Amino acid sequence: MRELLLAQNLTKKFKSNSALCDLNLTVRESEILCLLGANGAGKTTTINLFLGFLKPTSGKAFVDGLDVCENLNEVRKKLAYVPEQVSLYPSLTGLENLDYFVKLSLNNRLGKAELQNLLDRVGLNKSAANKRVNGYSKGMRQKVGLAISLAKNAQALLLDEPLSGLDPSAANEFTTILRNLADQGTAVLMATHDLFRAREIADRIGIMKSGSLVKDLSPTSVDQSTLEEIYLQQMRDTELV
Amino acid sequence: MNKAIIAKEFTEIVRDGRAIVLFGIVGLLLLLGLVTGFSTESTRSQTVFDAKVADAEVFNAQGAKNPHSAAHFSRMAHKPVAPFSAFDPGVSAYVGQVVWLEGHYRNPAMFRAAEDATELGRLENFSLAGVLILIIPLLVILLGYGSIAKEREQGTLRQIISSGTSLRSLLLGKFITVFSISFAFLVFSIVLAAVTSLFVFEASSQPLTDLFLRSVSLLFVYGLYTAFVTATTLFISAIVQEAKNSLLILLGLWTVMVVSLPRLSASIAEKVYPSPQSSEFWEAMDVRLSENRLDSSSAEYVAAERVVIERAFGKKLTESEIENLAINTRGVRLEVSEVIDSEIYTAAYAELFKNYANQKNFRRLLSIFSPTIALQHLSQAFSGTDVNAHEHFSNEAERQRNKIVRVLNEELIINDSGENLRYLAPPEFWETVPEFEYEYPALEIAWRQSGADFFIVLAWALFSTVGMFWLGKGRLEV
Amino acid sequence: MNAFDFMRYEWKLQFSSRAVFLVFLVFVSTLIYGGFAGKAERDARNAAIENHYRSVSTTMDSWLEDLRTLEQDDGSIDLPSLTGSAMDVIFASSLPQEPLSDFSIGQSDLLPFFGEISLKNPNIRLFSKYEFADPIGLALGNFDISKAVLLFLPLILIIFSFDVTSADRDSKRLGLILLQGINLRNFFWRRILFRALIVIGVTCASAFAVMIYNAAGVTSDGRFAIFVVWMTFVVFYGAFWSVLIAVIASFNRSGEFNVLTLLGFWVGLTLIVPATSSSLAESLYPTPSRLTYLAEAREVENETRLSEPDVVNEFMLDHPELLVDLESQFPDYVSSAFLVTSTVDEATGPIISSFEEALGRREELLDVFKYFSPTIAVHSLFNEVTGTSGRRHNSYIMQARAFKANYAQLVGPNVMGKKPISAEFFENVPDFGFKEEPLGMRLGRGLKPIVFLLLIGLGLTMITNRQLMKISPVSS
Repeated sequence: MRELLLAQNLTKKFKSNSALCDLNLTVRESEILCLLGANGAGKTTTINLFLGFLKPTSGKAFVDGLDVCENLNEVRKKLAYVPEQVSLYPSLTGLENLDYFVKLSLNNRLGKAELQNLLDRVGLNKSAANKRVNGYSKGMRQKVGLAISLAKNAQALLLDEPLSGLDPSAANEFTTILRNLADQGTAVLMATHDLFRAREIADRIGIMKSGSLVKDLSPTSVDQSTLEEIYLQQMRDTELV
Repeated sequence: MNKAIIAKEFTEIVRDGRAIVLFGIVGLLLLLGLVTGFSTESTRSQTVFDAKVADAEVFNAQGAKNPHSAAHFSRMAHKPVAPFSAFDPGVSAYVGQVVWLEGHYRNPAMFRAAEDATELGRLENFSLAGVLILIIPLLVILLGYGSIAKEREQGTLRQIISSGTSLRSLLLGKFITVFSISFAFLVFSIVLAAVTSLFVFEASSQPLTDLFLRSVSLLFVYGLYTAFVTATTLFISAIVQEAKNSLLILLGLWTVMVVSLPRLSASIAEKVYPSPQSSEFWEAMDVRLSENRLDSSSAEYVAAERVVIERAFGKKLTESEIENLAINTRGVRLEVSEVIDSEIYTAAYAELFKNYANQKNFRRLLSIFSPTIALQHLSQAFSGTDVNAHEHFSNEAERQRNKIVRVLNEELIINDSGENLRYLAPPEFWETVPEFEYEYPALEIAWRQSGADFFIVLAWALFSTVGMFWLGKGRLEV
Repeated sequence: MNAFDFMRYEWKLQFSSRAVFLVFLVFVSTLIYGGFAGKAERDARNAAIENHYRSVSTTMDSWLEDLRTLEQDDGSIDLPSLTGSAMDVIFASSLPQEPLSDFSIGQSDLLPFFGEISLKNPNIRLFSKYEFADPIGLALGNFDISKAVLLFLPLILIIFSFDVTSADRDSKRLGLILLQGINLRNFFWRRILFRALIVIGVTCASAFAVMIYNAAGVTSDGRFAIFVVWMTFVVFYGAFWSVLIAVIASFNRSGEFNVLTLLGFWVGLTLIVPATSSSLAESLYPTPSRLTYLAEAREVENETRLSEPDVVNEFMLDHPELLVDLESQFPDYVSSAFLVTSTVDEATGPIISSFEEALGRREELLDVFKYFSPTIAVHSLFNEVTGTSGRRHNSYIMQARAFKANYAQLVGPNVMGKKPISAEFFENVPDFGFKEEPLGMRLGRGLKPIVFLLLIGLGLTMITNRQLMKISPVSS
């Protein structure tokens, strides 16, 4: 299986603060890796380094074997990203937003039907898709963000706490789509605080602390309460430190 | 509660390095305006003084000369520098500085200082008043655009509201902070301007109380204007969701109300009430003068002649006394025509100034859209540099012209009797011709002429402040 | 994304709201009003010039008729005693109006553009009865389409382009956009170009409409060509501001920061720099005071009158061929006035030269300031191209003075000899004609700063490109 996301001794310092130190991590084809950790553990920094939004202080991030820093444009074509808060153009409809971003990335037109099909896949129906985004709920905006990612046919999908603030049914819908995507071959790296969802959809769960990956678990090897215990134990250690 | 709000606002401003830089820039611009005004006006004041002395010397050194030739040479009436022209030069560079008090003609004032200025000066001219009118609103906007909108963006507004603070006191606290900073700049500028004019314009002998009252009047109307700008800024900041939008809207208003409308209003007023072309003006004057001339045998003319002769001799005369007088009839004719023409000149110039007044009224009408226009009127009026002040000078100069020409004609009438038609007045005669002593119109007159402008600025200040407290408060509660 | 899609979305996102329409409406109305105001001024000037020529020609026709009668006279006709006096000759003179003079009022509302040239008036009073324009209007600065462009084009460009990246940055869309694998430099410049094209396009289209509409009723040879030159400067001005906006935007700060910075540049470059540089030029190189000039002229006039016999003798010595007509009907005051005027003009010559010198020095200094502000550079070019510059007006005044001096020299012996000039002589005296400095020369002076500013623009473009490479949706 191809290693689509690979971090090698990835280190990022902001002035004197270490946000990430010597992180090593892989996400393979069809694999979902959920990163858990307290605020400031380094989850978002990891994602930003893969996206090329930040440059590492040392170490390297690879996407499908390409060094992110050296092949930024190539790398970005292979990646898709859904942030915690998907920001769209409020004066355009969901469909128009999708159309706009698709045109930016693909340089070709997708027909209206194909665009609607993408929105159908993420569960945004036609009448909602033709409304202006300024009236959308958070879940609806996340769906458009996911549709934008789908349209790219990206090899790897990075998500930064996409579930926070979603109601349970929207969160459930969202994770189902993610699972389907992974099953079709996409590598998914998701930062989240939601232990329950993480265990439900992840192939691997990583727990981060102070910029390092301190645990790499398989969800099948732990039940929900054990996972919670391990997580809390790690956090307590952090407090003691 | 108010104290806490004001203290917090001041702390924020002091800690924001950008605000301090901004104050520095504004202060620098004001000083620049002051120095420019000071140097221009003090030079002008000195020049006027020298020119008056030189003019008197030349006139008195004419030697033996026919009084009518002297009436053509005549004197110059120099316009002194206005009391506060270093603060607001108003129109003083765009109206003449000196009137030639020539026999037969009422000349307009010559030599507009602006003619010798650079063409770039027409793009934007910097006086202290100009800087205040243009930059103080900008300062207020920069201090206040985010005052409430940013609190809303940061979420602190919800906390303030939930803490039970009265919304009025929140708005009032912010209003007091922004207003007092801008007002401090006003005080700084006006006091400095007053002090400098005290030193520079000794020659114009302005009494101290006049200077003081002018300063207070200026401070008052500029203060009202600043209150308007502050209230409007806070109002927009209160009703707009994002600070960026508040900034954009306020800058748009500034561009329209402060930069564009005053210029446009002057341009439109000139189109609605066009000023006469000089050639038309003089052609019309010639026609009116010749139509007004009286037949020398008419009863009116004879009556006028009688008045002129009696005035020359300073007593009532009977018809037979007049017939027996040894007088120069040419001198009488000259003086009679002066008296008759004077009516036409007075009427024609009154029409000219009436036209300027119409233009001013029209601009006032447009100040419904921008109080800046009315403020400019007030600022010039209190500085003694508006068109009304020029009209006053022009009329006084004409009075002086009538006086001088009459003295010269009477010299001719009385002395050039009989056959001796080339009478030469003795060299020492010229010193007896009266000097032009001009006093600037009192501040009281400026106030009387600017009532409408004052009420416009006052109304803008009141409406915007009330609007801020009522409408702004309404939006805050939502 | 192809160009069509790009424009469609730019339009939708940036230009399709009602507020934008309102801004454009106000802007276009201002431009058109400027055009209208300029036309009104130009038409008034043309009418005044026409009127002036008509009135001078009526006077001179009757003067010439009297002279012809005198030349054929056998003593039977009663003619005015001054018939044929060279002192009574007046010449019409005017500054020709350039084809695009409605586009910028310039100094034409303040400085003389027509006037009688006559030996009766000394130079100081050559153009002294023309001052009735509304002083407030003059003080606030005339309003025309060039001024509207100078002041408002940059503002409109700022309004539409300041948020070229900050809108996406502030609403956290920048990450999503960058992830689409776009070429940011290309994307950024396409946006700047598109927005600038719309604003400059609207400006040029409005100006074109004004140009066509205002052409009615005037001879318009070369009007279009000059309009194209004017428009080139507009495009330069718009382009410079767009690059300035681009460089500020490329620092990827908040929209608020961009607006404030650009506003600072606008106030600085269009208001403060012009105002301070003109104040500086005026304080460093003051012209002599007109009041001093006047006092000097009056003093000389008085002295000349007091010592008239000596002055006459001097003139006679300079013109040994001169024969005074002892039978002449001409009164003494005519030759005396001639002497006084000539002497005053001669004596005040140095003052006039120091005026000219001060003006020259100021212009040299202001030429330096053109390198600091595109507004100063373009303002001066607008006035040059429309023929309403202070320089051209001053050149007209100088030429009128020179014409008068030349005529005085021609007819001096006749006036002093108390003899009329002949009709034939009169007809051979050339009329006043303004010697124009070629447009190329006039514009040439202002082009160096433009080239310099273009280079600055290029430098800014490079800085922008470098900054764009650093743009990231998260701060590091």
